[in-house]
Amino acid sequence: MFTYSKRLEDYSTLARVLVASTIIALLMFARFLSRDVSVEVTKLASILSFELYLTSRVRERQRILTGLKLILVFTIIGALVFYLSYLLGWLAPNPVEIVPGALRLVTFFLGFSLLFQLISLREWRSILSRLGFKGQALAFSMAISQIPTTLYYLSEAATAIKLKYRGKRPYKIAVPLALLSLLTSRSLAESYMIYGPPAMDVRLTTHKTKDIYLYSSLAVLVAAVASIDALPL
Amino acid sequence: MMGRLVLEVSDLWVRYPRGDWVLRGIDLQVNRGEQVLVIGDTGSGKTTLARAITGLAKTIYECDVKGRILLSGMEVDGMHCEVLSRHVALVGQNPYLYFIEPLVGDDLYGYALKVHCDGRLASDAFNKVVDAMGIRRLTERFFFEISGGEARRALVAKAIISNASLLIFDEPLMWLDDRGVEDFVDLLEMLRRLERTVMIFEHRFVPLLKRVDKVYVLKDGKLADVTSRALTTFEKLSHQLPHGFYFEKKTGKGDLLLEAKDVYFKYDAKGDYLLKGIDLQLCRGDVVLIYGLNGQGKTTLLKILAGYLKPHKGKVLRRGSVLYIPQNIALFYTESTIEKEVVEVFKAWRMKTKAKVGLDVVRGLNIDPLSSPFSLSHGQMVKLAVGLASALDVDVLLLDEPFSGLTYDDRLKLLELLYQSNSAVVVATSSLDATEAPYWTKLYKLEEGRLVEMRAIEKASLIRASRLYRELVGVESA
Repeated sequence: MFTYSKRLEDYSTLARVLVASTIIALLMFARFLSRDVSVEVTKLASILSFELYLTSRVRERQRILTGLKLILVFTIIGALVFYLSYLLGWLAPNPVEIVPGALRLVTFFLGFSLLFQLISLREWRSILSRLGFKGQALAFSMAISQIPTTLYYLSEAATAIKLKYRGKRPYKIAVPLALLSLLTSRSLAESYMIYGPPAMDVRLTTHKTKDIYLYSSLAVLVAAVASIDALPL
Repeated sequence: MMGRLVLEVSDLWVRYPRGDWVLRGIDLQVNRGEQVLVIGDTGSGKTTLARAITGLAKTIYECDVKGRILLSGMEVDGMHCEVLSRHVALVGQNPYLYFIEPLVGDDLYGYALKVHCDGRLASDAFNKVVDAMGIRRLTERFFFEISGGEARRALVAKAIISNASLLIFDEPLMWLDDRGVEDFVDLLEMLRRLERTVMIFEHRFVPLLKRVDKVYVLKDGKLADVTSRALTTFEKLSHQLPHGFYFEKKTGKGDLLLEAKDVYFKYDAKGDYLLKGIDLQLCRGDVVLIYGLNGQGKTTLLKILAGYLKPHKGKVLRRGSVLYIPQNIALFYTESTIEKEVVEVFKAWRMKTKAKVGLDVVRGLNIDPLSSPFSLSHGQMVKLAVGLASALDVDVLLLDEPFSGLTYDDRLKLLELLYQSNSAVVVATSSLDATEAPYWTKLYKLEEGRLVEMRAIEKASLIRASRLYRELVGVESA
């Protein structure tokens, strides 16, 4: 869900950056500036539909369904927490909050994933470099590029540590992973010394013919989210 | 074109901050087009020598470096890294660390553009290298999705884009399966045709022995030319010791500890099964080898046996404790000293009072309990984990590729240690050169998701390789 897809290269970089950042802004708006939960849920549902539409342009249907399953999973977890707290006499969360909570989580997750699905790492590096953050942009790319292998090591360490301590000290997994990160950083520094960063051959485009579709659908979303406050919910 | 000096090292001394001298007066000359192999014990200084030649010893590790290193007649000391990268390229142990762009093609082209500073020249260089290395199909893939062998091949392509006069390979066979080793040998032939000068630092040297021009042993900080001795000893041992073996099935000594019944597994709900109908029985005293090329599902199978992954169909019955030792052995350790490691593990296993037994095992392995587990060599880390398992009386011990990065001699010693263990042991490996008949009770091959019993191994040669290693490096007999 966090890998860039070339399927959206018919749209300009500017349009894709604007779409991704507008979605994040709308999410913040829906979260913090809604008068009540029902308004917020309606806004989030609209944003989620748009996110799913964009994701469907980039990914296969299976991945989108997986994304939707997340809502269900988090709703179930929320419900379990509620009933457990209720049974134990603890301060239980409001059950009405469980669905919006799951919805918030999924919309924010998808929203942030769009930052990487719509805009490639090279484009990010180029944008950040032009904004005067060249070193940070490179460090960012190097760190992001190591995420898949780090996830693999996480699974390896989880298996080994769980059995070694008979499932008792799962937090100890942090030690070998932290050490591995240090060693990886040093090896990355070695590789940087030998090969340096690849030259950036990225053309950041400001307009393409198809942008109009993206802008119009975004305008519809912004108008819809803004007008929800006026609805008698 | 042979004869022009590419690398000249004279009286090279290197030590790490606050450490003793690792290299003590190295002299070496490598001519253009030559392929040179350097072998030696773990910790003998092979990687340090590679770091010194590439200038990394000073810049990254702040080593004290004395002596002289000339690359194509130019002094390495003080050379700017941009200039240095045009003279020497390093292909390190972990090829995945050398890619910054997620797509292999983007990374290679980006590097070509950096080197040539012109789009057309970069495209030409990129296409030439990609075709020469036969990696066109890899250019559209993410680097983290390709196998270790493919990643190394792509990294070699990156290394030769700059036309560097010297290519250094640090343990290139470390993560490769048998097919990957054959590919690497082919790659060396290709580099020979391209007249590239190559230096290889490798533990698993037998497949390379007849392919290189010179063989050196690095021992006690000094380099010795053993080219002719290596070849004559290899020939002599080939006649004395058989190559390969036929296997007679043995059985474990005791109770049934683990049983996998008709296990099916896949990661992707809509994808094909990675494992299909796996049946396996493990008794106490069994030492089982599961051989398979990379990507066949060996690690997945071990994680299912360990209980970390659940099979989609079938079941796994465990009748005892299980310990999993990962391929990246550093992920096994969690404490600042080995003594703390032992105490914590014994506490978790409710055997706090028996921690002394664990510490005795540590001392028996000639390891200082007050040292950090992370300061040990790869081989020592694996042996310590096996020692701990034996002190804890673990019933089932699962090891994923424990031999990678070990010398032949250390492989043999580890096998002997596993054979003496009182546990049921399962070892997953992708290379048959780590196998030898007397130590296994069952042999399996994992191929296309199925586990098939093996009756013979044609390439097994660990005892021969270990003897060759001992004769060349001069280590004590195991």
